[in-house]
Amino acid sequence: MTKKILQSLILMVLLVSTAFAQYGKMSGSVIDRETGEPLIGANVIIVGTTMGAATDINGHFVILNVPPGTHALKVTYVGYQEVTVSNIRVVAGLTAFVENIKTPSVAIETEPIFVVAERPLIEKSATNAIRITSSEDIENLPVRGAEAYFTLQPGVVLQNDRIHIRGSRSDEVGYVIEGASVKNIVDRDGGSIINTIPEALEEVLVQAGGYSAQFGGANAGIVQQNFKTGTRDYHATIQFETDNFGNYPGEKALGAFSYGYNDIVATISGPLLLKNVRFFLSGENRFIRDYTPTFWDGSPENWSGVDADGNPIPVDTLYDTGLRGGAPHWASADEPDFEVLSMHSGNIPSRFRNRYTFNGTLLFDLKKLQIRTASVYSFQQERNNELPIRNLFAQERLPLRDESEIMINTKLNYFFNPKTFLEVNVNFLDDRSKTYDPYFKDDVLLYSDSLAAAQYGWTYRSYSGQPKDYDFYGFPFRRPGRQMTNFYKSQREYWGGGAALTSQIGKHELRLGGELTNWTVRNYSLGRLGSLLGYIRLSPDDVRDADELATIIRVQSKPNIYGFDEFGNVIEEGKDGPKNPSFRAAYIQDKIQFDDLIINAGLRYDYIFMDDWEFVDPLEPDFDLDEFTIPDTTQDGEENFRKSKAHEYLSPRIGFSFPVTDKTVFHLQYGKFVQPPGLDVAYRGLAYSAFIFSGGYYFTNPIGYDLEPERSTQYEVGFSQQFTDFAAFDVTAFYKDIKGQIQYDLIDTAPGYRIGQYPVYSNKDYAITKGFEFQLRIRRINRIMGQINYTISSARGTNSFTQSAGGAIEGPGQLAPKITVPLDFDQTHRGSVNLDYRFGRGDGGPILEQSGLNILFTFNSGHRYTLAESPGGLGQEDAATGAILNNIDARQRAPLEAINSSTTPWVFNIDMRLDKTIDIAGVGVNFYLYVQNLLNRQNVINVYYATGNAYTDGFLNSEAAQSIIDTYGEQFADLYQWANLENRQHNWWMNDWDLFFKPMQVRFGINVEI
Amino acid sequence: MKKYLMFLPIILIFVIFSCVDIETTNITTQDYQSEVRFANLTGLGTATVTVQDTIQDESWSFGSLNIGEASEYTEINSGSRTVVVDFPNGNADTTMLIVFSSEKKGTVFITGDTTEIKYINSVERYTFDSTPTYSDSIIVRVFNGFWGRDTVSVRSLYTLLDTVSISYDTVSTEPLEIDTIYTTEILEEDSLIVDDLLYGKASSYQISIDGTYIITVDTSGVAIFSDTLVFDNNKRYTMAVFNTVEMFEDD
Repeated sequence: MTKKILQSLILMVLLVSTAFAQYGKMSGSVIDRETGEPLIGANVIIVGTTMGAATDINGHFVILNVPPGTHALKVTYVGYQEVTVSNIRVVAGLTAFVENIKTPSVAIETEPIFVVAERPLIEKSATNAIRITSSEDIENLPVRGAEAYFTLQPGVVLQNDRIHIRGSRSDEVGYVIEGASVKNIVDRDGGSIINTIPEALEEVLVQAGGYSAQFGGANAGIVQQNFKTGTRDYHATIQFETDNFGNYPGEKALGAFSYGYNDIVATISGPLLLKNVRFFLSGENRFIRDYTPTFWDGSPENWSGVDADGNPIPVDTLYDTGLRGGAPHWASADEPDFEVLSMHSGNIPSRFRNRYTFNGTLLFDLKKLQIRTASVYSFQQERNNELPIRNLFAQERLPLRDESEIMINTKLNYFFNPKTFLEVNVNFLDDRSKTYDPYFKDDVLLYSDSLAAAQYGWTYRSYSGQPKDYDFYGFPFRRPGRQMTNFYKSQREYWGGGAALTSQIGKHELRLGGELTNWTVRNYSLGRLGSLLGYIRLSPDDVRDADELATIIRVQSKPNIYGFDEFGNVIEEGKDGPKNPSFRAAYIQDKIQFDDLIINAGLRYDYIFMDDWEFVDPLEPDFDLDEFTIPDTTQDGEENFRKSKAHEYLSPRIGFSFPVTDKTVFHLQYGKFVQPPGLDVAYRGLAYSAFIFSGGYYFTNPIGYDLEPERSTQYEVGFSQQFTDFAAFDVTAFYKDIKGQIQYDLIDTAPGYRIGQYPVYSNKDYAITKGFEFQLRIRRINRIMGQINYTISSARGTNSFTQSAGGAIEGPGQLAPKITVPLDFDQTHRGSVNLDYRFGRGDGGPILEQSGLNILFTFNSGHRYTLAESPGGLGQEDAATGAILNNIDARQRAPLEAINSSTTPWVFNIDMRLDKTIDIAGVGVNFYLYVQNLLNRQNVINVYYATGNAYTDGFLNSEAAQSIIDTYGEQFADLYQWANLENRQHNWWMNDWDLFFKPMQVRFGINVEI
Repeated sequence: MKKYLMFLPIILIFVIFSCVDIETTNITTQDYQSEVRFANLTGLGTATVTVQDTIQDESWSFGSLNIGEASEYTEINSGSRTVVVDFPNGNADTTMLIVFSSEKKGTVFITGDTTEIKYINSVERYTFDSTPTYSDSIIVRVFNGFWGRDTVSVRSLYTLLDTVSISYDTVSTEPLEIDTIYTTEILEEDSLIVDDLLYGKASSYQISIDGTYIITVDTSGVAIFSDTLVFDNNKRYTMAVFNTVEMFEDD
């Protein structure tokens, strides 16, 4: 694989390329300061680059293809004094207007003129709502990370680690870095594949809708990140921050626990050997032990245990009842095993995440030709501990997960003339991960092998029989040596590229382009390793033969494998070869810019090949349960199973911007959008496909065959108003109609067929979302700068997630929801207030000079849920999990009200950052302290469905609980209170979210600029 | 500052070689082996034993075994194997399929007469466990290969008269698959080793001390024959009863 990557990199270097819309534009005019007459033929140059233009007969100029960032323009003209306008902010995809640069005659001014431009508070050229977080904002905010920045923006909802924009599902959000898509197209929860370093970002843009025709593959919104460009002079920074003041683990400092967080970032920027070749490089190592901070209590507060003589049993000594089969491990029947309960509060043990990241850009500025390469590399290792109490005595074999990411984006821009240029780009992305046992790593058959375990002193019950859990008063605790993970590995890789021709013809900025992205997706996921090993050992004659062994693996392990063979080797061909989805697009776009009207019209053609399968006759699908595969032909010789066809769409998009004045702008936007669903709904190996037909009961995660892309139609109306010299607001109303979202479904087969029904995913769901977004921006005045974001919205649809209807469909009556209800992630009110108070250089005296305070207040009104009860008491659940209602299997829940009628409580949070810069020997040293969740408020973000609160699930008051207490004693109730109600152990077991927002975190840092 | 630029190619090399390696093989074909020896408990003369693996096209010769003789343990492919036994003059020559379980070690006792041959595959231990021994003791079991006798009982007359209790739980130095823990007593004078042991069955291993034993075999309470056997310290044995009693040292 190393060789392959090397070849790819070489190919990348050899290819010329570029990416799209990661550049902005400058437009303006030059006039005689005294007469106001336009100056014709004045030279306008972006300082430090070869980019520039000459003014036309109206004194106007346009400079295309300007990298995002802050620039300075220099105007020169014979007989006139030189004028430099600095602090011009260029945003990708938008136009920076620099109107009426007043140029004096040399007879009047004897020295060059320097002007500092004021940044516009409204974007006149935007025909949709674009929210920008600049590198300066990033430096001051009391949060860190790209996700933290864009989730502050209007229209963006973060819930249970998923991002929803304007009421769409999380897989409908597009992520772009330097013009290259980095969206995770496989995971139905979406997200970005690539990690970035905050200090490497020039800007983060959120387009919550209405984006132009050059953007595709996302129905909800686009999150763009652009890196910094190398500076003209050498420049370096180094930054270190920590939350560990000697208080890790379990101790508080400044009112907060440490989570073992240390982060070091270095950046270097400057020319690379030649003046017109500039680089920016940043590297980061972030190490954090408890990487998901949570409210965590180390030990039970009450303990009711007494022995036969009535003497208290200490809480720290837990005796095994043997009721979970652990008794064979006892030294004798009279000597039960015991463990000592000892945990730190605040910190979940044995977790860690260690990540190395490099982000960089390289720019060749060769006047007519510009080449820019942006690269990302990241390697991360983490150890998870999802059930820290259950795993308390068995932490040795907690799984490790390795992940590496590479993204390389190379762009070439060639200017035929100052107003026409060609962009070509090539993108490469590779993400691969592996989850494994830390002791046996790639050797999967050792995972449940008692002999291998014996080498480390762990005793199994049989050849592949794991040690049974301890039973401490009804609660299972895993014994040392227990296998804690199966084996998984995956790869997601693409090669992409495209070309676009852009030309400014009068008022028209015409753009014609096309793009292509070819993915390679592989997955290797093995389960049931104990039974697999047992079967292999019982079949010695079969397992000497690779084909026979492959069949055994398919049948026994029910694996989900594609792009690998059954043994884990990479393969390129065959029905279980890699998935190769391919997305192609062509578009034409015309941005027509009049003084009082900007029209952005475009048409996009999408070719979407998802590389999924279809049954020729879905009513009589043939399957082979001997080989655990799906045959190409039926038993009658008819075609049975084939690749589905590609889908093609035309999506018109049009936007209008009406800059009524310099301070008042309206915009309108209409567009159609299309994207593939998160493809893991369709991507399974054939063995798993056959497994669906093997007679199992209620597959919570079936397969989608011949799925269609999801579609949306979006409408947007906006109004921006600058109402003082330093403040402006915008209001945007949106309406979105989404069709073809994925949902659980059942296929009724032909009468008399050998299987009556089988579950699938299909394009059954739809949603309608609407709302208002508000943003108020206050430019820095009297040291203070601020921003207020607020969204009121409604997200209604048939279902919230791909499996939401599973319980209803698999339950009695098999009724799928047909009406729209508020979606789980519908947060009616959401917003933030950010204030930054800062003393500049020479301001505030020696103590306050160059210091600042940033306060970020965020709030939301909670999200929807349905009060419910468990119809069958404990049902199939364990005593230790109580009757908790989980989100995976809706059959366990009987609603007590209309779906999603209730709302979780409001969430309020305050973050704060204090910083102070000191000049030491000409070097700026910035000390900072930032606090997340300043008030350490225990915000409730989810609740128990049975009670509607996050503090009790109601179980301990039930008859079922009393029966268990009668068996195990009051210690069961004590453990339940501690493990489940205070530490949410059963909730993490059943659901994949916490009930509370993160506790207070205090981080101190130092940043040195050279 | 320029001198630091040399780190750029180093970083590039670091990146290329530090991606997650997904090309490793995770499961390979398994070549499970069994260890087996053959013991000739017939009265038909020398038995020539060959084991064939017709799938892998391999074979193993166990040589010619005189009556009451056992071969050396030999490693063969686990699974269903063809066992070919030839006797002098073609007496009861047989070819038979016998399944040898993965990673198990044992003895195939050949019993029978001119009319019929039976092969009894008696497992002694797993191949991956070390030989169970116990300090200053012997471990012994009895196998009934007495053709035509449904049961036998075996008694011993030990030449010493010490009586000691010995625990079996630390016999194995390596973890056994199943930790069987039991206690036995050193055989007393004229004690019963095994009572009514069925034909084709082996008793559990028992622990005793080394020395010379007078072994008496009974059927239906009637002594058939006696023999004197010498057991050396720190070894494990199978006493095979057929028309006499033969002692095989187990590995």
